[in-house]
Formats: sequence, structure tokens, C-alpha cells
Amino acid sequence: MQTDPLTVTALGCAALSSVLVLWYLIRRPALTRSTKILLLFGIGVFPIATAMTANYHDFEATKNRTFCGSCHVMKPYQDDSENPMSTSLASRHARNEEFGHENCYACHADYGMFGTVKTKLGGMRHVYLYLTEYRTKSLEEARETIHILHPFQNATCMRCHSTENPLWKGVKDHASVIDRVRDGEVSCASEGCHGPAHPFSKVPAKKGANP
Amino acid sequence: MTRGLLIAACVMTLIALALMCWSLFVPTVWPIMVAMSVAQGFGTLAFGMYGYVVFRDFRRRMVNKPKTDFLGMTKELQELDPIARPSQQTIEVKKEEKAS
Repeated sequence: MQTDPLTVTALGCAALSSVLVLWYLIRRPALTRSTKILLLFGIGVFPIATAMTANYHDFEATKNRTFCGSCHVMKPYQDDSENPMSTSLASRHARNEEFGHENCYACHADYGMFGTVKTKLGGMRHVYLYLTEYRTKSLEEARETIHILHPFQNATCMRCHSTENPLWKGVKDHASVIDRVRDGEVSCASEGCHGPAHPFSKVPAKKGANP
Repeated sequence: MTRGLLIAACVMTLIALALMCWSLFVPTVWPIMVAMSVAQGFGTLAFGMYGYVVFRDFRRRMVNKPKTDFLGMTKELQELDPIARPSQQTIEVKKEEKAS
């Protein structure tokens, strides 16, 4: 049971609305001015307040790793992130206290002015692909065709690892390729550097694979 | 029809609220997608139906509103209760006020 203020507000408004609507359904009063005002709150004001708070809560919930893992084909990725023994990039980021529970979103979301909207639209595309293709596929079948849509952008890593930190610059491998990393010519997540974020998923993609 | 529409609006509101609350307790793909599509649609339609009923009721009241003279008295009232009519002096004052 979640007890954040947003959830409590949404549930409270829903409860008030339900009381008013049920009162009308049970008592069936005449349509007087007071009935109209009560129904305005029961059908209009409180449900709108519920929808606004619930939508905000839901948008926030879509950032959670458990949400991503609720499609079975993403379960291995979720399990790897939650495995304390795993040394993959995804798992190490998942252990970060600040954003660990949202590590999928933190690394896969687009940034910029319309980043959130683009990410949500991309999510809808994933839902479409899941419904039309992956819903009935086994994990092994799905793993052969799932791959990232675009090459992973270093800008996503550089949002936190700015490449300006003296500790970061102090690493010889970083210093030798700093310009190429900033330009995106050398990927942070390439073999020989930090490696892929989900190494277990790296199998040769089949022809016609869906990102 | 008015009552039927309002009952339908109430039932749809309850369904919409239930779906939205479902997404609060089970924040996974299906509850959230249903809450943001079906529930929003139900809620909007219910509110639209309520608005239509109120608007229709308001229009009916305006059409059936009895016509009155400049003193706010209906013709029926004038005929039924002539004593209730104001004095000639009051009428003259009201006429002057209206003219000015």
C-alpha cells in the first residue's frame, strides 16, 4: 500500500465522488439546484481531481523498473538489475540509491525539451510490438530479436558522468579518448570500454529483428 | 431520459474511478494503460452527459418561464388576485423609473 500524498489525494477524491454518486443512485432525488451542484462535484470536480493526481502518479510509476519488468520479455533485464552479484552496467547503476529503482528510465529516456514525450511515445511503440509479436514468444525467442533502436548515446552517460571530473580525467583510458567520447565516436558501452549494459542479452540479432 | 442519462453518467463515473484506483494499487502496464485511456474516456463521457442534462434542463426552464409585466406579475396572478396589484401611484412611479 502506497501512502504518498498523491495517492492519498487521488483515493480521497475518488471516495468523495463515489459517495455522492452512490447517494444519487440510491436516493434518486429530483433534479433541483442542490442536486445539480452535488452531482457537479460527484461527476465533475472530484473525478477530475482523481484523474489528475492518478495520471501524475501513473506517469511516475512508468519510470519504475518493476513497470518495465511487467512485460515478461523484460524480466531477465529486471532480474539482472536486481541481482546483487551481477557486475553488469545496468546492475551497478541499479544499486545507486538516488535513482536505482528507476535505472531503466534513467539510461533509456531521451533528454531535452520533449524527451519525456518522446520516451512515452517510444513506450507506446513497445506496447504495440509486445501485443502484436512478443506476447506469445518465449524468453529465448524474444531475446534473439530484441535490440536497442538506436546506438546508445554517450550523452546519456555524460548527463551524470560529465567528463569534467578530475577523477574521471585521471583515468588514462579516459584521457586518451576524451574528445572522441564527447563526440560520440567511441561508445562508453562498447566492448573494451565499459561493455554492454546487458551482456547476457548480446546474441546475434536475426534478420527482421525489432528494436 | 434525463434521469436515465444521469444514472448512466453516475455508473460510468464509478467505473472510471474504479479503473483509476486500480492503477494506483497495481502500477503495471495494463492497469495504467486502461486508466489513462478507457477510464479517461468514461469519465469525460459521464461529465459530458451531466453537462448535457443540466443544459437541457436550463433551456427547458427558460422556454417555460411565464411572461410577466414590468412589475414582475404574471397575467394569471393579475386576474386571480387583483387586490395584489400595487396602487395606481406605485404603478406611475414604476413607469417613470422605467422611462428614465
